[in-house]
Amino acid sequence: MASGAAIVQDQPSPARLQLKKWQPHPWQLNEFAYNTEPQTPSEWFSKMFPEQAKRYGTPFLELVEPLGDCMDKISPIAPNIDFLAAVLGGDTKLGHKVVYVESEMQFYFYDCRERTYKPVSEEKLGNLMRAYLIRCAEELPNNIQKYKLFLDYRSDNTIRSIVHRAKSILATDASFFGAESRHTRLQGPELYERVARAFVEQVLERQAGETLLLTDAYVAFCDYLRKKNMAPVKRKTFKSLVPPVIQDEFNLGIRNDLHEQDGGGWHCGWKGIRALDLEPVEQSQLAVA
Amino acid sequence: MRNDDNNPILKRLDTLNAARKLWAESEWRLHFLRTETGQEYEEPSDEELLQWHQEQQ
Repeated sequence: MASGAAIVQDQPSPARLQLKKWQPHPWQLNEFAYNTEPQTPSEWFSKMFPEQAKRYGTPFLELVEPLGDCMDKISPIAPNIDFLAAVLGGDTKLGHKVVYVESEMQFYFYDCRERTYKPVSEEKLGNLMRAYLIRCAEELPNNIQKYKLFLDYRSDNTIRSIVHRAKSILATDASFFGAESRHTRLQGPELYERVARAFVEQVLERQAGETLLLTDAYVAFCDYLRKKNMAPVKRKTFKSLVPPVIQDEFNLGIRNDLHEQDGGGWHCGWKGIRALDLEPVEQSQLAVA
Repeated sequence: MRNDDNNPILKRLDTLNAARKLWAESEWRLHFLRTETGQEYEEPSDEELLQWHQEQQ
């Protein structure tokens, strides 16, 4: 009995766990080394997303069970949620990027076709992850246990965990789409802030002795928006957008003690700046106020 | 290595094929994130594809 027990102890364990990423073939050169086909789910994902694997680790914990004849049965037994969440962040090789704006609780993805960021729902991100998992299952050889890839990891619960983890891994603050950021998004609230900044830089200029009434500036701004095929804003919105930019650009605050040249009452506006090519006030344009 | 590696026409074709392959992969992934808008989608021209491909390098 004792010798039998010793023999059992000397034998290698029939099954083992592994954390194994894809690596280029060691005996091949150049692109041939990188054409080595992945053989396990971890290899498939880490070949496709090497940056994420480098940062967040091996995609799956895998169970390797020898079948004889140098064949192994490989089963993914636990996913690396951090890695899969990072995968949703997109592939820089394709110019893709997904971010989560915490202050808005909203994901955005970069659409290469339109060169802008667009909002995307959590359900759609989940669909993309499901598509990766099924593609992985389809492309791997038959010694891989595909049940978990097809069913368990594509379940609502697991996908929800991945998307939820992505919120912290892909988090950005509001400045990612700020008025001074190079990132643009579809119909973001900062769009008018950018236009207000451009309006002040392009249409207003410092001129000693000149007066710019708030009404005239508002009409000029609506005209500027019209030229950019944008809808006019309400006067209240204009007052929250443009005066702060004028303050920044010209160090001039709005004042309430201005007279029109032809007399009349007191008006709001600025002293020391003027608008270039200012068109006459049109009542129809003021109607949106 | 091919003997005609310096042929600019073949080189452009190779780059274009690589760009098409990458673009197809990109579109496959973005398909899951986009929302249908009803607008017709035009395939990018060869020049647009090459420019996009160059930007990703």
